[in-house]
Amino acid sequence: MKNNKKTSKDIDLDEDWEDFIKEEGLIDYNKIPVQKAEIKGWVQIAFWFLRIYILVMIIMVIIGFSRIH
Amino acid sequence: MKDIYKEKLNNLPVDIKLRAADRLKIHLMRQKYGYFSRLCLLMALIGPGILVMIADNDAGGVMTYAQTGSIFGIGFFIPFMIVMLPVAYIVQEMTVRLGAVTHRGHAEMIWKRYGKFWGAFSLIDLVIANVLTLITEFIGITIGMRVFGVPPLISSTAAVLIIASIQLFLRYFAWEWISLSIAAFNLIFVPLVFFVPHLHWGAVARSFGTWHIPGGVTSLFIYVVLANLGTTIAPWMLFFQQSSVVDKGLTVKDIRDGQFDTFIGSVFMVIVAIAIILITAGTVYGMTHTPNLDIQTILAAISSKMGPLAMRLFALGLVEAGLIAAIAISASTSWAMGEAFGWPKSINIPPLEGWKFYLPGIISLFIAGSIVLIPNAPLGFLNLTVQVVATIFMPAAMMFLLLLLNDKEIMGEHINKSWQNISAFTIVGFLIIMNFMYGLTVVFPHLLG
Repeated sequence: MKNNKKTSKDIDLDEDWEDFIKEEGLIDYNKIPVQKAEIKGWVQIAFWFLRIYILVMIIMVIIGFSRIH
Repeated sequence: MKDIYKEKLNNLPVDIKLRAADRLKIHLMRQKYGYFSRLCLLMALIGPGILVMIADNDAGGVMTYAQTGSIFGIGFFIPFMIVMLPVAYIVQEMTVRLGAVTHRGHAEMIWKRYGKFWGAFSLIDLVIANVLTLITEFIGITIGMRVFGVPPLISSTAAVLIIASIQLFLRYFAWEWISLSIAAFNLIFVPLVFFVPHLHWGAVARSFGTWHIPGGVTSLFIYVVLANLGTTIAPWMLFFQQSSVVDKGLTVKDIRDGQFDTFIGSVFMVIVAIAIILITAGTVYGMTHTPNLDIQTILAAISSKMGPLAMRLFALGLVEAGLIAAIAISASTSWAMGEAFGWPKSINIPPLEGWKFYLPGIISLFIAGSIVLIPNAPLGFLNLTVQVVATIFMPAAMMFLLLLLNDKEIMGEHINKSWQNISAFTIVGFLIIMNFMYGLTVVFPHLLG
């Protein structure tokens, strides 16, 4: 970006088209880079909780559906 | 618009060009001062929030609210729906911030941040739940149109063609305004409330003090609470609003307007839900004690108590609810598939260039529209399966949302505040407890009597 301190009000589109495009995030290069998260700490606990929750619910669903038929 | 802008816009790829043109108008509006300019800016920025909340009052939702009022009256569920307003707002507001900050949809964020397994898990759940939910929308559309003498074959085919045309031939700005115009008909339920015979507003006011549950806490009550919760926050809503915010091109500067949009949408959603509960509580509640009230019985009761015109307007509301939800749900399927597989993913892309993007949504519409036409299709079983899939998926989808909103690396200064985390974790906790209790009542049917 030519001038990072510029606000949207200061931008003259005739001259700063690239700034407008970048500020608006219209082109991919302005996107926040996303990398795979490191699963540790409370996030790891949350994932284990999710696995157990899904397992328990699937067992309950199987029992529930088997009683319908 | 100045010619120099048009020239520069023409140099951009087609989907970015249309979004850039919309954003340029926003950019120029932002530089003007005065209340009128501010109002114009707000009007240009609202859309995803109102759309998602009104689409949330879908055909399945209308049927759920109608059954709620018919079985439980106003005692518990009128104050309960008021509580649903902050619940819906807190959950959906997070998608506005996440979309505006990352410029990425929910499916893409899960896939890239937490890997292929959870990405595929979320996508498969979403697509299955969306197809099943679409079937309930087509059930609503065909039942509603039957009131006007239109056979299901014609109503279902017409609905598929209308929705597919809206997706394929309108670009984002027009698509959003046409969708909002259809959504406005959701308010058709509100004036009907004033024609409900013997509706005592005093009793409505007193319900806030008593929270009376007719019959006490039973498995039916838990089921109805869960069904109402399920219609208030659904997995497709998270995916839809975030993708919609991204496709509209909202940035961090627009977050406040996006929050206002979501709040207004939540208010509309709750007003309509309360209106439906009041209508059915005033016309059907007390007539029968069976929990298996179908929508045709409810429509007949409305006709006998309020007249055929009221019943037709209610049926029209049901059709509209199915139509607007089908537009939103099929769009959320297309966006999610595009985000997960890196396909072009914008309603601004013309159909021939973006056929991969449009195809999943159109196929899901076609499947749902065809299934409702199968004679003796197990629609009740399908409806139950929708709830089961959504029940398992919702806490998972919420967990990913909360993880992303607490990820400082991604969200920066827009990370969740303490009160937002406390509120959201309380909602997830309540959802998990209610799901677990309902699961227990299925496994042990006599647990609560």
